[in-house]
Amino acid sequence: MFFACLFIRMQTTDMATLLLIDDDDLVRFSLNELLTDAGHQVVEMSSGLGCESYLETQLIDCVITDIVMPDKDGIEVLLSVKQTFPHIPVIALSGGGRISGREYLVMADALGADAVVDKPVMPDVLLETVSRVLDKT
Amino acid sequence: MSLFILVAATFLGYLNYQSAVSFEEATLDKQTELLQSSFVKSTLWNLSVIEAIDDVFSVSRFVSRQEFSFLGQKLRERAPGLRAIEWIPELRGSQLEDYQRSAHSEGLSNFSFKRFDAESGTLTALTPTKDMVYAPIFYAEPYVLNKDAMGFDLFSNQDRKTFLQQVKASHTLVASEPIQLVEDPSTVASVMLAKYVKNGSQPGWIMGIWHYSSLVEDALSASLFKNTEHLSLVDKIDGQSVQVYPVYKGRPALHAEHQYHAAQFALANRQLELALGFEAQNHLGGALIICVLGYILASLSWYALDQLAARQAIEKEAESLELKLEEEARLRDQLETFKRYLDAAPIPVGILEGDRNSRHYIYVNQEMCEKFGYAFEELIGLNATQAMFVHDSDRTAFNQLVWDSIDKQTTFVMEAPLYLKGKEVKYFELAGRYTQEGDRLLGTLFYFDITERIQYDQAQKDLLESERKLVQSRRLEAVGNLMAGMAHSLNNHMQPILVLTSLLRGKVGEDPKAQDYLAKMEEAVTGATSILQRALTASRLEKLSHRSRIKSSFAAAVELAAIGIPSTIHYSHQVSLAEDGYVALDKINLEVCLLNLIHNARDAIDLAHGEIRVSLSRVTPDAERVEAPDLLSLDWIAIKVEDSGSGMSDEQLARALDPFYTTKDPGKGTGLGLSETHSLVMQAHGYLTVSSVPHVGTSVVLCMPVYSDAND
Repeated sequence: MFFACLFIRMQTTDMATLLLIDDDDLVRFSLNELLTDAGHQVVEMSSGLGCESYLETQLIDCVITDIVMPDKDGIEVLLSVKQTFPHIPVIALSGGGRISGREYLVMADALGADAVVDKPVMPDVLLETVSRVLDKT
Repeated sequence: MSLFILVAATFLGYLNYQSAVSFEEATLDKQTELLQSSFVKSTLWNLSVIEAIDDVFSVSRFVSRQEFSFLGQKLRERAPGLRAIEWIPELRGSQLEDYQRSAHSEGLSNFSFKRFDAESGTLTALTPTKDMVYAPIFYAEPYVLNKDAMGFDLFSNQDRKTFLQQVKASHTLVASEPIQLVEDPSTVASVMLAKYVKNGSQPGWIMGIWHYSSLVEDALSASLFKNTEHLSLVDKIDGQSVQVYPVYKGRPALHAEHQYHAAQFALANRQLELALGFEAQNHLGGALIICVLGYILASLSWYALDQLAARQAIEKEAESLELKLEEEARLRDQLETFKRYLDAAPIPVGILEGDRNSRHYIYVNQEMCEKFGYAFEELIGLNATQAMFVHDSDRTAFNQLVWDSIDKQTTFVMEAPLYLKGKEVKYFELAGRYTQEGDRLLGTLFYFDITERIQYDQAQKDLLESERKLVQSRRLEAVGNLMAGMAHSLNNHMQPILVLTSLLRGKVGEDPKAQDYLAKMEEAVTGATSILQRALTASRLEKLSHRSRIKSSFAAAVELAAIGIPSTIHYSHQVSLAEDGYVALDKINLEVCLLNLIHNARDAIDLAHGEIRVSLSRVTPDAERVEAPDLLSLDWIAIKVEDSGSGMSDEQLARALDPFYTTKDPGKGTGLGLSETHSLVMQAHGYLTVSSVPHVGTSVVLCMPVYSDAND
């Protein structure tokens, strides 16, 4: 198992446990702060690699993944998560940038993402989205 | 040879002596044969006259009436029985007038075409009309009595018409049935010998007319019966009565009635074909018996030599005439050679003659006829300043150029579109030069077809243009990609600022200043995010859409066009369209369409005062011109460009959409604008209409369907 780029921060909360995948450290840090501040427990990964095995061993309520990443992009993460753990909601997140960014989001939507949001997402919009997908399950 | 003739003569003389002794007992057939033989020889001798003329005639393609008259006169002296000899051209329509005119100019001041009314026996003058075709045997008149008479009416005499047709078909000398010469006081019958001649551009007949009796007399007296006082013709037409008419050399002709029968004797079979040795001989309408006594052998020998001498004399004469015509023929040969060279040239060439104001084609080569599709006759005599293949709008410039070239004695060169017959237009480079020859101008014009070159140049230009556009669109794409990539990265960087600023607001407590700072930071970040979003949208739209917004493109194009419009022209534009929409043309091409039309309008007005009105409005499409029925369910817009310019004629209007067609002066337009606009509008599933009134103005309307969104 390859865990070289796996960072785990555990916090106690009575709310949900979220897996946050983003290759950008600052984005990951700030979103972690926001979500944790809102009472969620957040697990960070800097890449989509190895997220399936992690999901097999840990209880995760929701996956928030960036779409455009170097090693394994968010679409693959989305596909494998939805294949193996269809009950776990996925929120797709994208910089909306590069030519294909928007199409990725469209694709993510089509492939079963429970929500898609453009970066930069407003803090309250992200929190609302998380609450919404958790409520659905 | 002479020994042979002597021996043969002696032998034949002996035979003839035997037959002469027994002539009274001779059979009818035998006697007939003798007469025929003598008649045939006489006729042959006379026919040789015509043959001789034919030979001379063959020397030159152009024998004038005067030349022929001279020739005929000489030959008539050698053929006493010959009453008239003529060369009669076959004439059609306007050639009649020319022929009449040339006859007058050659001294036959009273010559006119006449019609012979067989019933009244009178002659009436005819006015030639364009639609008449003359096989011009109107009536035959003895040359000696009326030197101005040359024609024979065929329309009034079916037999003669038939005769001429036979002559024309046979290509040999043919004798007619007996004919009655009009105005011949002797009222004796004649025979016409004719041959169809077609050596050049002037087909016609050579014909001679002999009194029949003269032929008989010649036959009887000149050759065979020199020394007899006892010649007789016996007429047994009725099959019962036998009448004998004495014939002496130099005496008046036979009585007409019997002479007519005599004519039947040899000519009953309608035609005597010289080439076959005058075979139409064995049909006697009745039997004619000649009492012939003695000297047949001697006469035959003498006749043979005499005919030989006569032939030689004629040939000699022909030779001198030949010499006389040689120089002329040589000159004509030179001309013909020159024409052949011109005709062999692979470039259209026209030779013109005239003065400063009017120059007409006197020769065009074959390539010119083929290239332009006109017949030689259509171009010859054509006034160059009114040539149908020159565009009206080019005439002034062309004339000016030619005048300059005449005045300065220089070569002129001009590029111009020219009409081929059948409306096709090609581009030509005209090069030519006029030289002063006495009081007239003589010029040679070359027409180089440069259509392919022009098309190639245009294609090259188009290629460069499309490459330029491709580079442009790639550049835009690259800029778009760069912008999108930048936006993506910046968005990522915005995310922590946005989130952390928000979180910080909870951490700094109630400090109003800190709260205010953070609120402003949030505002700045939100603003930056919004700018990035717009930039992204813009780069994406440029790339994805092949449609353009009609109102904004229209507004941009009319503003752009205003730059090229002089202040003397009143230029107005108006939009009466409530809802905006998209047309299936990108913005650049829509602008191209509008610019083409507006610039055409400007050029039609030229620099004179005028008005251009441009409008955009809704329109109900013309169902017949819409390419697919489902397009009718869409809204349609019309862009109308009207001008108060020179307008176009119906002919110009019909060609207005043709590529390369232009009414503008050379160098002012390629003739592609309207054509390009048309094809672009077609691509946008629309159509284009042009209406125009000369000197009032032109109106062009583009109709296109409108779509509600920007994507195809």
